[in-house]
Amino acid sequence: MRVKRIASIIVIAGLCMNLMGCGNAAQEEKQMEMSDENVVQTENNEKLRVAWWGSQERHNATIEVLDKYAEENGIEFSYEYTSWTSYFENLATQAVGNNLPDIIQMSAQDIVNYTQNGQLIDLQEYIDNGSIDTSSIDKNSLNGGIVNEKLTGVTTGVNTAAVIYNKDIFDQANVSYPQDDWTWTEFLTTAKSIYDATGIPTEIPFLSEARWAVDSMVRSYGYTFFQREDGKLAWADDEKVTDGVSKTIDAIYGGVKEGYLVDPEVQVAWSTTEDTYIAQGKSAMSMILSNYYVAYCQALGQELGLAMLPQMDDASQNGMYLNPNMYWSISANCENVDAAIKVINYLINDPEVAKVIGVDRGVSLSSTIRNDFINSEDTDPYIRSSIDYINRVSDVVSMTNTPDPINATEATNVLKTDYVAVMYGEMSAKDCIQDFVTQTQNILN
Amino acid sequence: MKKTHKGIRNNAIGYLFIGPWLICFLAFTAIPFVASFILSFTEYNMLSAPVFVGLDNYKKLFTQDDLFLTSLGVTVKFVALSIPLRLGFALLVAVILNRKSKAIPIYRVVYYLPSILGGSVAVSVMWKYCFSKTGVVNTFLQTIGIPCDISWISNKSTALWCIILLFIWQFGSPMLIFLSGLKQIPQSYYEAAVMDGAGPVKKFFKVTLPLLSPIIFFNLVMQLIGGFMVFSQAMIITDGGPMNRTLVYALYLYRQSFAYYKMGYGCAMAWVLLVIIGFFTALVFKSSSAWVFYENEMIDVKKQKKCKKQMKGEK
Repeated sequence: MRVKRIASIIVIAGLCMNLMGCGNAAQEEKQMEMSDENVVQTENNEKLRVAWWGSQERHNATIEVLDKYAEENGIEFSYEYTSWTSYFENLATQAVGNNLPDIIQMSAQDIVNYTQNGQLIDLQEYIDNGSIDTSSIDKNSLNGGIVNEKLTGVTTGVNTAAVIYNKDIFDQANVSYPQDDWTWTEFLTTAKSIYDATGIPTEIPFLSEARWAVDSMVRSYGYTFFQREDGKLAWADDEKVTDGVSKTIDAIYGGVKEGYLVDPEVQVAWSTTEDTYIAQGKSAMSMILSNYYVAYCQALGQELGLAMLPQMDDASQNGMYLNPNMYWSISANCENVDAAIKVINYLINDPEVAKVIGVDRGVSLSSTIRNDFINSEDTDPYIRSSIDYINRVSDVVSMTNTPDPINATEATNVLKTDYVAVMYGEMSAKDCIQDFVTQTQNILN
Repeated sequence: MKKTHKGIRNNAIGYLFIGPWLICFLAFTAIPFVASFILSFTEYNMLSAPVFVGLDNYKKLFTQDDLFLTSLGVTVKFVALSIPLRLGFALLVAVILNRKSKAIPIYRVVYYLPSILGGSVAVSVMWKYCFSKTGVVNTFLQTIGIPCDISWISNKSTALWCIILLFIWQFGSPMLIFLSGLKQIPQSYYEAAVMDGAGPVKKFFKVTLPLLSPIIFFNLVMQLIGGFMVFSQAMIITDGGPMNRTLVYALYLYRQSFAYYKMGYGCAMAWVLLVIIGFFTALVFKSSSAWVFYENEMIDVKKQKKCKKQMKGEK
């Protein structure tokens, strides 16, 4: 009996040790975060905390321009930058402690939550009084940062969906380049003829985030993915739309079965740009969000062609859209709002900043900056093409999307999983749409 | 008076020594523990104050959430497959290493290494590449003549196995515990068994296993608890995919709490997990009387029987 008791004591002790281990890990993490915070010291005691997520390139570029600003204006910055995966976790924890950074890079998925809970300030008055200079910005495109009639985010740039294609492979297969007004049927026949001629497949459209594909499909019929007024899926009640979308998804699955689209088991495992076939020159076409275009070109080492997403066969409208790529926001506990406003104005309007950052945060809303890029001779050709593409899309659509409603991430995750299931042959396209619609109604309520 | 003063001082020094642990325990375990219980009855998105909603989270969890059952199913499958395999493998290696040789310490280090590395993100990322379609595993299989080009991590029937395999590979700590257990078994028992004509297999099943059963019991409980909490491997290697086939409970809990801003719901999930782990642990404890043997306990039982016999004889 005594030994038994000893055994249970050992178990408990072991448990505690485990828990200690967890505690230590958490502490280590915290220390690592701390070391990420570089403090730029100046004599002035104004201090602003700036937070963003991104790649190492973005960190370097952002620090470079902010350091320069700090030096010129005698202000002190403290930088809090992480990768995308841990960013909003950190931010939420800081929100709990009323300790949000002053200037925050915000995403279109999260801005609603932060705004509705009063964590961000309304920037409208600073735009009205000219503190944030919007003279070269189309007012419509700023609407992307409006939540509940409050403008809580200044759009850093726009992005949109795009088909990127490898011109060499098209030439080799002797297939003509895609036109901006092509249809989904044309997209699939193009993919098939290239595969028949060269054996090179095309990537499954948006396997990693089906929302972008379906978004463009429902837009072809004149709907928005989440209805602007109430955030509901208005298109789901229109049989023509649900039929059209499921038929198109079914046709894509047909391409998977015939083998001219990439094997979904392979594609689903990709995580970095370098993993993808398009970046290795092993696929003819791929669908991406346009702000990644430059990265794909750099990975491949040559310029990729850009075409708009295909239209639905039985709808006349173009399904393209412009999205606010991300926002600059100011938190409610910022003590020096005026200084923070000046920094945001610098980040979105200064031509030098634009040169350093490029189109990493989306293509700038400012026509001055866009023109600078196009007219300047030393502009990177990839950046030039992506600006050119955004201009083409802007000619077709003018409204920028509003941010997603609350809980949208959970809903779009359902669509993503179901779409993958269709490509694996586990679910019919019709059930995929049906399941997404019913589950979304539950989730958004 | 003087005595109690001294007592307080003694205690103070004691508390000072356990202070670092105590502070960490309070900050990272005790307080979050209580807080999560309270938060599980609220709707809390972390951006504004929690709102009390009673049992709503639990109701939703059990009646409306399909993914709750999916993720629970995945986790139970994971635990049921990986824990016996991990323990079996650890025991096998421990038995092999339990001999007198100068190279043994080196082997011990070599076999323990995966456990140090295993929890880390880097190994999970490595695993992901090893088991991809063009990864090392397929290349190896092809060179030894097995034509294999499936993508292990994204095939719907092999994805979970990739995570199980990584979990088994980290068998180091149960192995070390087994090894120390094996060393405690007196050689005389084996000698006696050999005298009675027992072969190596019989020695293992009749001497080693029964005497090792308290250690197996300890390892089983510890691994069971760890197995239910599996998270980082599933998050990095497959991210729950394909089609939620590897959506383990902790990963779904994490998504609800942090990606979907439903911290209250996540806390409720955590408490349900605690109850589930508690249930399985209790099950193991209950069953232990049937298969766990303690050396001195057996002697106790024999003594008791002897006493009874004697008493009967006296009567």
